[in-house]
Amino acid sequence: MPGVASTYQVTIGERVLTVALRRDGIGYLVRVDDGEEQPVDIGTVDGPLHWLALGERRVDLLAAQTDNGTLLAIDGLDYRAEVVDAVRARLAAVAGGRQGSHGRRELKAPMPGLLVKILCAAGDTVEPGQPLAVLQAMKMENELSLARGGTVSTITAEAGQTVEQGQIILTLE
Amino acid sequence: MFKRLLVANRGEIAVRVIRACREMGIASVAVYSEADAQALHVRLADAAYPIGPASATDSYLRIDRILDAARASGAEAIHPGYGFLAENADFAQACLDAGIVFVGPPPQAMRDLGLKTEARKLMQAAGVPVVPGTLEPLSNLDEVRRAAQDVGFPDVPIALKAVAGGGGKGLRMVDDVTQLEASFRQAMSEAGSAFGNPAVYLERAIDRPRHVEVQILADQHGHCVWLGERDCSLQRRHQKVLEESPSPAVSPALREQMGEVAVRAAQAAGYTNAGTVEFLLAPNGDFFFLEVNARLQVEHPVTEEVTGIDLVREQIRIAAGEPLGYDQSAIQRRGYAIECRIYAEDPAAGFMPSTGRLVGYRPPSGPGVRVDSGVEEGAIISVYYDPMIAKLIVHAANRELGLDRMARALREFLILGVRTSLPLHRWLLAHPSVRSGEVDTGWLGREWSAAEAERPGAEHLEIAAIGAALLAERSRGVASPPGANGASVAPTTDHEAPSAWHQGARLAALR
Repeated sequence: MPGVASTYQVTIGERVLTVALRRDGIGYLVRVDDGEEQPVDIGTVDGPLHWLALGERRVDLLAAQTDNGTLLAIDGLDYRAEVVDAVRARLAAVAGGRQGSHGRRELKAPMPGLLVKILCAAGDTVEPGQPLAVLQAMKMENELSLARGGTVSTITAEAGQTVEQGQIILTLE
Repeated sequence: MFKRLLVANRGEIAVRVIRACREMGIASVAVYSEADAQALHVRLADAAYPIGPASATDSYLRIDRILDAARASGAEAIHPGYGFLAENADFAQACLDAGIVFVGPPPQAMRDLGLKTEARKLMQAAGVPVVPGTLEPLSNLDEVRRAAQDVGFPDVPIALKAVAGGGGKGLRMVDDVTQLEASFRQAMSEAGSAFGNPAVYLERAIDRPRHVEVQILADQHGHCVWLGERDCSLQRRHQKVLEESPSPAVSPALREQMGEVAVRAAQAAGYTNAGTVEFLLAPNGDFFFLEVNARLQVEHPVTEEVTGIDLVREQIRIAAGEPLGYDQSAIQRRGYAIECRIYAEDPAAGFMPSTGRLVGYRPPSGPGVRVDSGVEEGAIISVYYDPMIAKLIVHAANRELGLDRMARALREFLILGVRTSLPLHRWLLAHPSVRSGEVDTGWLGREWSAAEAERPGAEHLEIAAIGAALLAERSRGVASPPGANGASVAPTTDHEAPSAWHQGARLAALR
């Protein structure tokens, strides 16, 4: 008897995967993109440590849902996943055109520090990955950029200023 | 032996020293900044004293407050760890003046070795090979030109180095005559701002050298032994990322030779306690004195694993005036050890420091695995201090087995909440040049490829996506019970942290 199905759009880095889940007894059946459907289940070992069973595979993973997406660590490597309900993703795509869910428009300070330089001005057209500002933290100068390009609409911080973690430095249109 | 010892440091090295104290029956005293009030080193110590706000200049670098804490606690000795005040001769002197034993070399040896031109003079006089170049600071461009010519410039490149320097600051490599003047001025200005001393000197540049260092122990009774080398050629911006012993580039004969030279170097400086003599090893087997690190080093566990000697214990014994009690023939090296420094840095984003809470922290274990760390799950990696999370050290019978074991341990290391250098280490352990040991100090800078390092992640991308989707589904399953006609119709708060109620319900569902 097929269970209720849910479909999620999961973005990890530049990859977007479609994960379809449906209930199957006490576990689930999962299909990733156009792959084969497999039995899957997840459970908590302790704290953030989870077990995941996928077909015959068994994987230990650390996972936590945060304001900044779902964080996961598997086999010594870590991932940040943005999980969106596929229906909502489609709605957003229709409403927002190509803005969809790809990349943030706000450049935020990833950590508290001193904003050394802003490398663009309002109205500038910038490329994806182009350095937009320089933040000094932990005695190092770090170039900040966004995964998307666009036109700089507002700059909300200035060089020489101390910024808090998460503070918006500038926004693209 | 001391009854009480204060540890003037934080993080993993404070934990390391406190553990040695406990094994020796010495009461340990921690000091801490406001940011570290609940830190592991504070909780492990027998007593703890606050020394100021989070910023190191207001706490861990405050000689007056640390000495106040030592007096208040009745500590007879201070172990400085590494970093902070460890190589500050004024601090060592202040301890001496306060009647407190500084666990480290005498202040005069620290001063002599702290100025590179002085150290070079000392070493040359003692017959220790130094890189051809000047023994005095250079005061003008004419002197620079003459000295450069003397070592064969421009046929061979030269290095302009800060007299008071280290860590690559005030260092300029020059291979072009037209760049000489500008490089000289830049080196002076950088040295001035980094060390408060603009003096620079000049050395012939060694092409593609390895960084090989020798650990020594010297007591206060004239005994000095060498414990073998560590190869630290894998560096990024002059910061070591991986250290191993024995070096794949050092033959038994060369090891003996370097060891004897290291002992001579230590004795020339009147050095006591644990120290490291750093050398540049040229591809042809020539080696040159670089500097003495007058402290316990980050990578000391590599030598501990290979020799079985507890270096912190030896440091404390030596500081208490005990003789070593063994000679060179008693030093045996067994097998191979390697260390990876796990930093809170994002290798995929130019090694940008990554701060935040360690939401998850599960270090590896098993045969031959040692993790020296000052953090636990839930700890905060802050902007205030060094971003090192842990040192992962493994020991095995030989290099091949050691590299395999390290690769295994790296896979077991799960860290959540900050980005880490783990992908860099996994990439290194899989690289043919690292496996064959054919690297030099510039290799990592030339070869590092973030794109390749991220590739191992691809195999688990699907699993990560499935895991994330399952967690979202479970959060929602609890929020809107089955029967609510297709969870996908009413998207809920799948981005937000689940409430305690949700978590409780989920845990209950799993029982």
